[in-house]
Formats: sequence, structure tokens, C-alpha cells
Amino acid sequence: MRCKWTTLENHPVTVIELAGEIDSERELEPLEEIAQKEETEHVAVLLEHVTYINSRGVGVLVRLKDILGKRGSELYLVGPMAGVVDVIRCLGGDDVFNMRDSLQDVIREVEG
Amino acid sequence: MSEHAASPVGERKDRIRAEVAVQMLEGAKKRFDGVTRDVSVSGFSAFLRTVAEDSIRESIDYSVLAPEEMKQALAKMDLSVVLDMGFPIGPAALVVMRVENSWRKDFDMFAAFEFKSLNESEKVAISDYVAAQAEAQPPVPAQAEEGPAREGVGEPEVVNVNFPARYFYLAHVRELCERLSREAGFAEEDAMKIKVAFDEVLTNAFKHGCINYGVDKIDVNLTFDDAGVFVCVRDPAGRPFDYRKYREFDEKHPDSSRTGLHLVDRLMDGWAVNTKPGKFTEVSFFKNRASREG
Repeated sequence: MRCKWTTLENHPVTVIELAGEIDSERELEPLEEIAQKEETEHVAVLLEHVTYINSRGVGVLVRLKDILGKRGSELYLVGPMAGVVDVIRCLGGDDVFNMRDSLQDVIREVEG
Repeated sequence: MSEHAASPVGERKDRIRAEVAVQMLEGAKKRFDGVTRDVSVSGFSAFLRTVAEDSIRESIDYSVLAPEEMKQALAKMDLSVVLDMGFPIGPAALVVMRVENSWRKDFDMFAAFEFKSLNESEKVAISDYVAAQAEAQPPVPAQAEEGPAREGVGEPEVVNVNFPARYFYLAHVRELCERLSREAGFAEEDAMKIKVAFDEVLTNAFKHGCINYGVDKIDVNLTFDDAGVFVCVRDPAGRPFDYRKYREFDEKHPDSSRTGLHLVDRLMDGWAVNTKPGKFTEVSFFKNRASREG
């Protein structure tokens, strides 16, 4: 799995771009560290290049959402592939996560 | 005698899942459970023999019932089954303890039995009955019920992978399963679902069924045929667990436990767990080509 992140200038959104297969909690530890930083407001996780996710991967995203939720911030999942959406839905994630088609949708929403 | 072995896929509901709690002499309860797709009494008897590792022998004092009659008898809870357990309790009678709607896909009902207390005359009568049955006919070989039964099976091709319990291998074996599923004709979406279910089962085997990292081995069988794919994953620990707890999965907190079997249940067409304590745990599932929506 590959992971890189950046904070958008002039927008209160930290963008985390993931790629490959999300199948291990350990690989996703940096995400929780990012979420715990004080300067992090909302987080958009780009999933367009994630080809696979399992229950452990979804579990990490839930923890990420919980960390952010405690200080009133939101987690957005952006552009997941159909197979990834299937797994998230099967685990009830469509009620838990904010899923958006594009980063622009997220930016519009948080600045709305 | 009712024959269901060749039932088409659509008739899979003619299977019953049953659980038998056996009160051992030392007071401990031992549980057996399994699946029968033959809901005739004879099929049910064969199922019981299978799950009890041949300790339950032929003997049911009922004439053969049609599947619908069997269901009705279970629903009314007026069915009892006479068994010769051999050891440790000898001949005994099982009565229906409770019947639930099926919690597993494609089963009509779940029936739990318990042993009926027998008086001396009943014990003698059952012993006589069992002896007469044993003389009258040779023992019927137990039906092989390895995991969920599948119908419409053509010529199967089996791929066996046996590998040391190292994290390194899991992703490769997972990939192999997906690729083979695609090669076998599954659509990309279904191949992905098979991969997800397989990954969950494989990871459980790795985490809970392999005590010695890199030494214990996980055994995988992938069977492809006209009906679909049948997957069986065996670990060497044989740690019993209550797999029915997958129902406790909380969709509002999807990072909680029970997610693995919950996913298998949602994505696949059927699954089963078979544990021999201290020897192995097998988790198997199948996905039909003409699958229902997962």
C-alpha cells in the first residue's frame, strides 16, 4: 500500500492519498497520527487508486473517523472503486462514512 | 427414501441445520453441529452419524418422511430421534429442544435437540430396537458433509495450497484465489468478493489457528466447477469458537470484532465451520456462478 498526504492551502482539509491494497492495520498507523495532529481539521482520504480493502482496513478508517469526530471534524472517503464500496457497505460503512465522488465535492461542502 | 443429492441450486433450502448437545457422563456438554441437505429422516440420521464421528449409529424409529413432513414435524417440535451412542451414554433419544428460523443462508430452519431422559423400560426398548436394526441391515456409510453442501456439481478441479503461516504468504495466496476465480469465469466483481471472503477466512486461520509462526501450516482447497467455487481453509489449532456470534456484528461500529464472518456471510452463498478441538478448524464457503446478490 502506498500512502501520501498533504494539507491543501487555504482549505481546512488534509488530503490523504492511498493506493494499492489496504489490508493491514500496521500500514495505516500514519493515518491515525495525522488525524491526531492539532492542525488537522477535516480529512479527505482519496481511495481512487485503492484496489482492495478488507475488514481491517475498514476498521482503521472507522477509528480515523472516531478520532476526528471527537473534535468535530469530518472524515470523507473520496472516489472509492466499486469493489471497495461493496466491502464498506457490507460492513455498514455507508451509514458511517461520508463518501464523495471528488475532492472538489469535499471542499465545497466544508466551505459551504 | 427421499433423494436430494441432485437437487438443483434453487432447491438448496431443503437443507436443515441442526445442533445436538450431548450430555457426557462427566457432566460436560459436548456440542455437535452440521448440515444436512437431505431432510428425510434417513438423511438426518446420516448427518448425525457424520457429526458424531461415527459414534452415532443407525437407528431412528420413524418411517421415512417426505421433506415437507420432516419440516412440519420439526416445526411442531414433535420429532424425536433414537440413537445408539455406543459410549458413553448408550442408546438414547433426542427430542427437539428448539427450532429457529435459519440464520444461515439457504436453510429453512435450525433445529436444536436435547437428550430425553429415559426410564429403564424405554432404554430396553431402544436397545432392542437398535440391535434389531443392526442385524437387519449393514451400517449405512456416513455421508461426507465437508462444509456447506453444493448442488449442480460438474467435473471439479481442485487447487490445493499448503503454506507455512507467515504473513508474507497471505497476500500472495489471496491474489491466487482472485486470479483463479477470474480464470474460472467469475466476473471481476464476484472475483473480488471471493477474494475478500477468502482473505477474512485466511487471516482468521493465521491469527487464531496458527500458534507457531512460520512452522504451522495453513491448508487451502479451492474447488472450481460448473456450479462455482468452493473454498476450504484449514488451520492446525482446532480452537473451538462460537461462530454464531458473527450475528453480533454491529454495523454502527464496523471496527468491532465479528467482521470477518459477517463479510463472508454477506458476500458468499453459504459457509460452515468444522472444528475438531486440538486437531483442526476448517472454515469453508461457496460462491455460485449464478449467485444471489451478496
